[in-house]
Amino acid sequence: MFLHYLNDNSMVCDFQLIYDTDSKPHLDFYAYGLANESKMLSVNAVGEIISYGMYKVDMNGYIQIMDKIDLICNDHAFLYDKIIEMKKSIDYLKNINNLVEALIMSDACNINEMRNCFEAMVNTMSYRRLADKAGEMLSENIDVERIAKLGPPSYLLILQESKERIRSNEDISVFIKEYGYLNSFNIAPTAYESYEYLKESIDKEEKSGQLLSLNVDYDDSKCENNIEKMLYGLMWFSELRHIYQLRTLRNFRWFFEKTNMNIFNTGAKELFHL
Amino acid sequence: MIKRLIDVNKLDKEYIGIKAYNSSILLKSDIATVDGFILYGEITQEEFKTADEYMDCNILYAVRSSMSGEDGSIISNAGKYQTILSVKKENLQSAVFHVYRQSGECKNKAVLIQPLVEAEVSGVIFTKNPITGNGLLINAVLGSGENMVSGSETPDEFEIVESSIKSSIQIKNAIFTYGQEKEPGTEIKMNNCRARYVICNEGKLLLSVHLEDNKKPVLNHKQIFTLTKEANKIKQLFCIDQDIEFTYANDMFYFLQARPITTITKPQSDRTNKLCYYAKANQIIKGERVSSGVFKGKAVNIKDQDKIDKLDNIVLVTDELYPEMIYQIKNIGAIVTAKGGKLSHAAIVAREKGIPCVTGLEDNIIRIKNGDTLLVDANNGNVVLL
Repeated sequence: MFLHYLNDNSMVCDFQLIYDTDSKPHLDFYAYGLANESKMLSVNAVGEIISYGMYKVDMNGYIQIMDKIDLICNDHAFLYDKIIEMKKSIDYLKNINNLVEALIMSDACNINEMRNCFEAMVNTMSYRRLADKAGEMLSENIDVERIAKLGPPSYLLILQESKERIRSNEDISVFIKEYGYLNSFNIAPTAYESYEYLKESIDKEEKSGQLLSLNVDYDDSKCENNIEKMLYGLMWFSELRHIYQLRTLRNFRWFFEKTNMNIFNTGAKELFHL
Repeated sequence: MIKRLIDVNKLDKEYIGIKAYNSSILLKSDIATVDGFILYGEITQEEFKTADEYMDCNILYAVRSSMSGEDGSIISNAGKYQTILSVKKENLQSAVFHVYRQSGECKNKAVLIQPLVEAEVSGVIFTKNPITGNGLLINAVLGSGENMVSGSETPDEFEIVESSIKSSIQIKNAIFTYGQEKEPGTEIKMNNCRARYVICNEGKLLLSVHLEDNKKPVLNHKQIFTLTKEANKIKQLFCIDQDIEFTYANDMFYFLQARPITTITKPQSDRTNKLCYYAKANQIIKGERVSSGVFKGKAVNIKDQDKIDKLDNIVLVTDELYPEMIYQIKNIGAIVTAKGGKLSHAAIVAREKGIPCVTGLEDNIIRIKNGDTLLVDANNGNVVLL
């Protein structure tokens, strides 16, 4: 992910190299998330966002960050505290998105609300690498089948199952708001957000609505020990991070459409004058 | 010995290699190419001193092998010998001797030295499609063509038959090229694509393509027809179909290298009863055909070098194929790769050696495990897992 720039001995990460996405905001979620890592880890790193989706950090700072991540991964008490922080970040991001959606739908959303939403997203993203690394380490000694039993459902499975439950026009509205955006990492809407496309899913005989809002409970009751509980926490975080990353992106699109901004090319710098 | 391209004559051909000789013909025929000079045979310090006078310390150079036995009309030995790009004037001697050492026991050794073009687009054009035998074929990438000809980057492909163009366009996230150092984040335009510098280390540059431009074709139709016209001129010059390397910079095409096309594929009659294998197939993975023929054998991953040496008639499975792998591994029945285009060195060699080869499987390559029985149907670009 990071590349060594010999000229000034720094490390550069360009998410445009890594992800095939169609929008600057999405690349900015990742890049600003990296920029926020040092604050989350309480490390003194000198970094900057060079351009949309692109982050550069001094070598000392980079090494300190990597060392801190390793330290936390190997200290279960420390890791446990971080998992609690991760869960709180998801809960906060979820609530901010609910607020922003309500405001957008009532034409009352402004740039400050979107900034709050962006900062909540970036805060969640700052835990991404730690969660991935810690999850890999903890899962090394656990059977793959056991991991599959412990973990929360994949968001892709949630998407497909909810689509199969569409039975009414009401369900279509719920599906578009709660699930449709999960179909793509792009900001441009897909068929899963199209009323006409989804109408084909309704039986000829329309039934009453049965689709509920998206909710993935935090449920570690199947876990038999602390390691499994921590692993569950990390897997839950990663799954919900994906879900709310895509939901936040969708909400940015809704905001851009309401305010006649370019949905692909309006990055954090243009929007918030960072 | 040392000679400038403009001073080459017919008598030099045997000593300077076909690459250098053909480059001199291009230069003298008013085809847009890059002027340079050749070092060949025994090279003394006196000759390096002369070379020094020909060179500019502010320019980067390409040092290309031009060995005897290379770039022939029957055998190309494509990719067998070295090319070193981004050579500074002060490093010429070590680059030349490195290419010489790599060539092993070669009858007549020579290297062609030319200024490096800071390419916006690089590619290869075949004046006859080596797969279908019909029309022309272009493979091109943004930036340097090094990764394309080595097979590690899959290019955009343009098949030209009379005035119609059939394109196959890749998603491009990264550009590899050579040039002057710039700060990370600096924006630039490569032909019609916006990009930005990520890292620049010692003349080697990595750029990322703007997210709105990553699905654009690297060449537009006007450029394709210009290329076709120039390529046909080069074909007439040499009186035989040509495999031509080109580069594009500052609104101009430069033709760097021209050699005869060694093999035009003809679909071979199957010796295997193909239909019954398709009927028994567990999976069929679609790829790109880059040669012809059908072969059934056991899959062996390139990483298992020990196994490769001990087994016969294997299907070599690898992410990308470098030509030296083919020259080193003697018992290959077929080749399957994740990346690479029809005009890469590896594809050329596979055709020359009559090895069925299917490329472009991309992520689907992970479905093939070591020891799987495969039917490689290069005639149709399919890999059948049995």
